[in-house]
Amino acid sequence: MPNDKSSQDALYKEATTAYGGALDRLARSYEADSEKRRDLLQEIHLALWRSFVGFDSRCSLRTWVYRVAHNVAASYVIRHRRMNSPILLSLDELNNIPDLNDAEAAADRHKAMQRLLALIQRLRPTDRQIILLYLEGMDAASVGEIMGISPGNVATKIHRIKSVIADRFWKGGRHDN
Amino acid sequence: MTTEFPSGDVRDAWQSQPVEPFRMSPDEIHKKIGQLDKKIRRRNFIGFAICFLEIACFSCFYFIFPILIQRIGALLTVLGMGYLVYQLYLNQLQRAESTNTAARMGTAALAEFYRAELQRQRDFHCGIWFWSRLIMILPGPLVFIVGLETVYPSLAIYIRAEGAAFLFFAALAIPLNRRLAREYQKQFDELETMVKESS
Repeated sequence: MPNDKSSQDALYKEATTAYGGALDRLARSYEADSEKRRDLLQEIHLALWRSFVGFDSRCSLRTWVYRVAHNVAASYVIRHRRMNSPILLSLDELNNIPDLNDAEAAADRHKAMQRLLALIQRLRPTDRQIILLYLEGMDAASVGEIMGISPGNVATKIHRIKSVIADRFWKGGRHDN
Repeated sequence: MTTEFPSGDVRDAWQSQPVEPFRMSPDEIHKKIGQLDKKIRRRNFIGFAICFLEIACFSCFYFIFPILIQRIGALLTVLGMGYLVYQLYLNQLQRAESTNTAARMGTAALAEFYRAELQRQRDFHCGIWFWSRLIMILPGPLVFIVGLETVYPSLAIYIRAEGAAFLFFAALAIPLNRRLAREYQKQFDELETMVKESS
């Protein structure tokens, strides 16, 4: 129906204007290869446009956009799992393995961001989703609404995420000293 | 030298990364969605066509080959392929219902969606889904090969090699599928624990 399509178009435009950058960062956290990342991003955008046929304002546009995007990305991770791909880790496991990029520990922010991205890319989807939503500036209640888990549980996870990040980056700095 | 982010700064640093602007115009989206739907229809058609071609071939073999054991092999292969088609169809149906409806992605919380995906993948690689697939597909070609050997005893060595290769790959499928299923189960359990803790 043309009416549906134009309302989907309008919602899509609003969503990409407000959250286009976040979607790009999300895709980057799920796929390191730039060609494949573009495919994933396109998949997210198409799913988003399609999803707006059912958007009924029962949740905010932001919640809706993040749910669709992370659901597509989680599905992408499962679909593209190969036997030789690296094992995905939980936060605890990640904290216990040697530094992923020890030798290249560097002072500048760009490299630090690359290292953070490398850490995130090794996480299992649920932990990855929480860390990404946290980094996008959301509070525990908003993350809980998107994830479907309690804010208290999210807060605990975020606390661990913060300590993992601090620990990993502090370790990186210590190696260079 | 330190690589540490100032503690309150990591979110700012994350959000201020340079991003590549990506947006599609409505026309591009409509066109792309049309192409994607067509591609999916074509892919499904090819998958099913291959199965049906095999079913057609072995159905012909059933009538052409005079030796009983070959005819039994052909019949079992037809049944096995028919069962595979049925499983693939069910899997597709389940996927369409549980995950691919884009609108549901907006209403389903991530944990709920992810759980359904993990469960679907795990079940495809283990338990009744996997073993019934293997049991249904395995005997037909093996019996057929035994029949071939009966008809062409001079080619026995090649026919046996073919049978051994078939068995090898079938046996290899067991640990590979079990490994995948274990990995999905592990993630499923973690998710269950997390959801339980939060309820």
